[in-house]
Amino acid sequence: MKLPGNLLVQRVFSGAWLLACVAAAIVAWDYRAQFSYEPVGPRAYPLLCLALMGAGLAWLILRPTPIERDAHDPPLDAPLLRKVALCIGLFLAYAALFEPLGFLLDSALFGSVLARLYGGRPWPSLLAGALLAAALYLLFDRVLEVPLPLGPLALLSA
Amino acid sequence: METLNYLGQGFGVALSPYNLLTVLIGTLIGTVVGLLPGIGPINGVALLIPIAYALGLPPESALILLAAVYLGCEYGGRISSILLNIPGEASAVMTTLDGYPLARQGRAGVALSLSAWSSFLGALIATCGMVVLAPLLARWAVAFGPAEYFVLMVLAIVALSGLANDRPLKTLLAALLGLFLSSVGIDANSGVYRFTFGSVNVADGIQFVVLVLGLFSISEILLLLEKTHHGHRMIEASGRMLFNLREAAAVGWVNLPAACLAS
Repeated sequence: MKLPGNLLVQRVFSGAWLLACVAAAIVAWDYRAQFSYEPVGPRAYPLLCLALMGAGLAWLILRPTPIERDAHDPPLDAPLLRKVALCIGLFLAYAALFEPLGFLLDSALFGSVLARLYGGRPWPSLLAGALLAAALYLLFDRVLEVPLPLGPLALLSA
Repeated sequence: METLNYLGQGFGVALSPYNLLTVLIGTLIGTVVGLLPGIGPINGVALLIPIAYALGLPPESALILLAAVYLGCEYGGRISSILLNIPGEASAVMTTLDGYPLARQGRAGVALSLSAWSSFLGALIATCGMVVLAPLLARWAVAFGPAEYFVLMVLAIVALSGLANDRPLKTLLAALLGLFLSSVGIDANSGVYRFTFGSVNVADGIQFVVLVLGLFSISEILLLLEKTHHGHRMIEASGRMLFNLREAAAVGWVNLPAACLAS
């Protein structure tokens, strides 16, 4: 049976979510309190939410509602999807490199790369990223007194 | 009644030029602080209490400053909601639904000024209502028990489906996902670690700011990436800055019941 692409994607997404719900339910089944005045225990509320979610997802798998795209939504072609995947990869790399590189270097680097992704020219993006990272660091460190990791730059400041 | 007498006295103090200047500065600071995502009114006032103390103002001016900062912070969250579709606080989430489409049409100035006016009207009615009805409200607050809290939460989740009336099942699934994610962490009644998988950092639960940043900010960044890829501009510069009377009347009939509900 040939399924339209839109509905198939929705069915796959609902199916993956349903599997995650089942896995979470298996994990939640073992949550027991040693002694508690509550009759149902800590596993009742998660299992209830998961059961309701599972029922809704099963219905969605059987009868997915097609997503209508607006006329003025941009079309999702391959270069755009590559950009979006690159952006998501950038976010993950930013989170992974936050502790080793420190806030200043990490934010400057990824701010500049993100500005390039948005269509900025090379030198202004670099400058904008670096200035924004420095300004934010000063704001958090001096004004709001929120400690942020410095990474390799800590050797300079000590 | 002596209440009105005391109120008149209070207004006399509050409307002196020095205190009015304090209000202006306080709301300016509050708006700037409330603009930052994650710093809401309560955090903003907590951050600025030491400054208010160190300034050595007379007591009523310090209190006026802190109250102005509080109200400014409440308003500041709307700026990032309307212009960037990124709500900084829970109370600013609803502003994104109407404000951001208005900003995309080029009427960001109207949206901002209208939200300022609605904020003012709501705060005025709520404050006056609280001053007049405080004993009655206190009796009701004490009588609000667990059953009432549960019914209130059911009302909130059901009212969510009114937001997306063409996709009720998906809205309900999203609400259930949110409810499920709130159970991550230590269970309050029994102390059992739920869904932490051994990580200490998750034992506190998933913080609201993290969720907001992930759901709203990252999705907005990706959406803007899609738009600018094809050369569209992000937000058109608006022509008119202030709302006109017709728009004020249009939101008036929502403002007044909401303000009464809020008080």
